[in-house]
Amino acid sequence: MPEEVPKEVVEFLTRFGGATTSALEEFIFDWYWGQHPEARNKFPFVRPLPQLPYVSDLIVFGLPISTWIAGVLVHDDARKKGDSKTAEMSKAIEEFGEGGVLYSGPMLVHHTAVLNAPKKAAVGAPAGGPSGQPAAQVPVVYKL
Amino acid sequence: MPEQKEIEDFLTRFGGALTGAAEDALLESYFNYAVMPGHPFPYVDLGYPLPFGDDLLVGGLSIPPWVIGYLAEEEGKKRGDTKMQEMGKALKKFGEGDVFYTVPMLIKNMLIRATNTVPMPTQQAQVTGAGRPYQPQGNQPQPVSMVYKL
Repeated sequence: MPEEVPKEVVEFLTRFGGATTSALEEFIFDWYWGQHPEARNKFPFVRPLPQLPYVSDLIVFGLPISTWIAGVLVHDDARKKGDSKTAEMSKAIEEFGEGGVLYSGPMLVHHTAVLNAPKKAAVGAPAGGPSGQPAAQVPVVYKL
Repeated sequence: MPEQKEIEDFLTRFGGALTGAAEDALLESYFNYAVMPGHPFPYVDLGYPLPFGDDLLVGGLSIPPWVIGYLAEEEGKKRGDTKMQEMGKALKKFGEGDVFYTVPMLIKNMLIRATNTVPMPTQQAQVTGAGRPYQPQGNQPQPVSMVYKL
């Protein structure tokens, strides 16, 4: 008879699975953006505001939220009905969504912070547009 | 609806995850801001396709709160000190939240480095735009060599 895995470990792994899934969703978008230059500046690789992350990142954040809400609602409903099996399953979905939010929420904060932080200017790049206005965006490489 | 304790647990974990993201953002913002020759510590290139040293540092920083919290909780249990046990549990959850951000971030960065065909330019290349001449399009100043999407 195999030993039962502690509840804490299962919960940790479920949340970790949710967080990793979100990271993989983000990776797929980033990979597509990198491999398909023609897709840039088109949905979902557009920013709602210049200071905000791409819509693709907002989608990555939105997906686990819906999973989380669905889990919470089904869990509540199952508890009311006394259906312990559904309650357990929905709790796992809730934890999975929570893990996704725990990755994607801070990821959005990180992207916004790095995007809006001051950056070094490139040598040889014009200081401004034709009217002599300061450049809105200096040439930059984002490190990962 | 989630109970009060569940909300507190979530907020503790979220605080940990945000701390990891803030450390990551701080190090990357400094990298984008400061002009440095090559890849000095902590921005050490550990070899393709491993993440850069600063990312591993952020990942490593998430482990101590988790371990300390776990040990404090165990010690509290042994001593019957509920206050210590509770504090250890909260610290453990904080570290856990940090791990939920940093480890998937490391996996993602590694996958991006492994699949990106554009090599990471050196700091010098970033500053001079070497390899990718500056080509303004219209009136908009364009990035010289933006490799990674953010």
